[in-house]
Amino acid sequence: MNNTNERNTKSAVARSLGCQALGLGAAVLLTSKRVARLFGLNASGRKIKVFHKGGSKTRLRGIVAGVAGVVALDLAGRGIAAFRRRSSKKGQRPALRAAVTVARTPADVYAFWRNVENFPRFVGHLESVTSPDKIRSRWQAKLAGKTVIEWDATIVEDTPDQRLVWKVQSQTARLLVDTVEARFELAPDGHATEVHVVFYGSQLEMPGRTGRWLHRLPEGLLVDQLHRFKQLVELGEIPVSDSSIHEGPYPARPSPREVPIRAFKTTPANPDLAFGASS
Amino acid sequence: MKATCWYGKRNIKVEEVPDPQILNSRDAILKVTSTAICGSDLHLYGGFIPSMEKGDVMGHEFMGEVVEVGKDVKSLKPGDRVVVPFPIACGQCAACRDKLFALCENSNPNASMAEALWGYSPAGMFGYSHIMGGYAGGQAEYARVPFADVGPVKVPEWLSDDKVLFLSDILPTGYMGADMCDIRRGQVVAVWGAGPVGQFAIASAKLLGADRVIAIDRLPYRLTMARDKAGATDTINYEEDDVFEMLKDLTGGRGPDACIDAVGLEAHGLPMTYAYDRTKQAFGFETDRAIALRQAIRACRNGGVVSVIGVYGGLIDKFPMGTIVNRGLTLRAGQCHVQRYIHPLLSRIEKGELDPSFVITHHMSLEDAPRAYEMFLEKRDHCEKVVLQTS
Repeated sequence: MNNTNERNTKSAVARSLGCQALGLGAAVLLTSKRVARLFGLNASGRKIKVFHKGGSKTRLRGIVAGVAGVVALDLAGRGIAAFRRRSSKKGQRPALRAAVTVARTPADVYAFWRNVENFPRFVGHLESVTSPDKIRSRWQAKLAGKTVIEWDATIVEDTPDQRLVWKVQSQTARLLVDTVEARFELAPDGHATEVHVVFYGSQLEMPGRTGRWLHRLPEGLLVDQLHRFKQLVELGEIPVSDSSIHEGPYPARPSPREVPIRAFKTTPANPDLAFGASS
Repeated sequence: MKATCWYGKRNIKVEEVPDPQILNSRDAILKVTSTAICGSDLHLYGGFIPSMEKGDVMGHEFMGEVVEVGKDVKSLKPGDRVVVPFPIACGQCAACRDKLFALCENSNPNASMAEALWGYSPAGMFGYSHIMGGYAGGQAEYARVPFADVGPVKVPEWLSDDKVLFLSDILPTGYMGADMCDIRRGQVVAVWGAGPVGQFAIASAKLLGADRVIAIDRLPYRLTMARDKAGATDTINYEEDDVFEMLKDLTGGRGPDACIDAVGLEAHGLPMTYAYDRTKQAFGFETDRAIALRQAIRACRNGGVVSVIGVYGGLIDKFPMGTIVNRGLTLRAGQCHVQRYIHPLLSRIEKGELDPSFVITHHMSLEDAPRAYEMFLEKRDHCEKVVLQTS
């Protein structure tokens, strides 16, 4: 997922730089002397000295054409990539992925994730998760406003201390997510654990530019949830700031009311599930 | 309580806001006694740092008296007088264990926002935008301090606020700038920017054994302070002399062994260079003006160190990578890991080896913050450093 994020950011930067370069090029062509003066260059006389002997406009047209070419190549590359994505096999393609490294052993992290009733402690929008038989589970989340949605999931693969795979059972929820995989790998330092999370579900990968733009929201959410998981298991609670305790944008200033520590349950429901505040 | 709040470009108001509360078990609430305006606060004031919200409480240099602690804070109690480091650090993650406190992995609640901009997230910071966590700052009568068992340091009663306040940021930042230079006896260090951080970088370079320290700025009163108070051996006013040529003259043609950029993203320069960068910045072609940084890289001796402690937020233009590669320069940078330096620096202040109060030119009340920001930005009345007092 970090790759996707980086790719999106890079594309946005490239697109913005390309547009700016084209804009600057057009401005230079149309009002070359004014632009030169703006930049403190010597624009007196018939030719702009900084742009060399003779044919300055031809030379500039060449530069602008070059920049336009680079932008065109970038757009073509994106088109080819989009075509490849559309023509590749649908189904179990990863739609969202994210990873975080936490200062806990894989066994610790696996045990925490294996008990899905822990999830509301770090996933902000989850109201509750119940799993009486430890295999099947019922998840309840509150969306924007007060809408509550529910779905069922079942653990379909379970490799102790290494890997867990959940299959979403509810038809409606499967429109968004079909399968979720979590892998727990010992980090190269021999102490920490790399937690890799992958969401599979074809509907998550929406085609086209709008789809990719919409994609950033769940990606950002997944990154935030994993950060909160790391905070919870490394510190025993989730640190908050003056603005982060509010849903939606809020200035960095103390809250006017007694603050409910929303969703971040610092006291575990079952003491057996708790990690201490220090390792 | 009264607090200094950001309302947009060059728009600061002191207004009544709610008192802070304990939100996490390792929080403390401080009654702020002294707080300062940092040069980097001017980047917020000038509207150069993204992700500010109207009403944000400003300030990351502050100290005061503990009035309340969360249930897991064992090292502090009400009544303790403390200075607070500006990076918020948990003390337990991999970065904190490596003493890279400004890169704490757990203290930024808006980590995904920072990741989108910079790739990974640094630590949260007081009063410095929502990318850095959306924490209320300390230019207020009270402040909430997270991880109060890691950051705040108790200071002895016999040392005045003026002598210890700058342990919160600018003194350790200047010191880290010099520390990153690997200074050995007999070396020459050049420091761009004779603002408060530059003054402390100069003083620290001398403390760490530099033979010659050269201060570069455009304001004569700052260069005088650098020479008379911080210990600079030479000064260069770049509006009067060619910096590169002067540095070559002063170093027998070698260039300084280390160059410190204590300027950052709002650098000034000669008219043509300044106009070029200011125009690009105004139109969004670059976010930061790297005029001082380019000069520092060009002037540094072959194989030398360029140490960047000035604040940069995003993208710069015309970065001389060829100079760095072909002349084997080492580039070091970072927000200061204050918690790493604060104890040894406090010890130097206690022994009388350092008196950081020499940078203070103005004491004002918190209510005067809007006037203080304006004066500091425009460098009126020989303004070097403003300390705001709450009572």
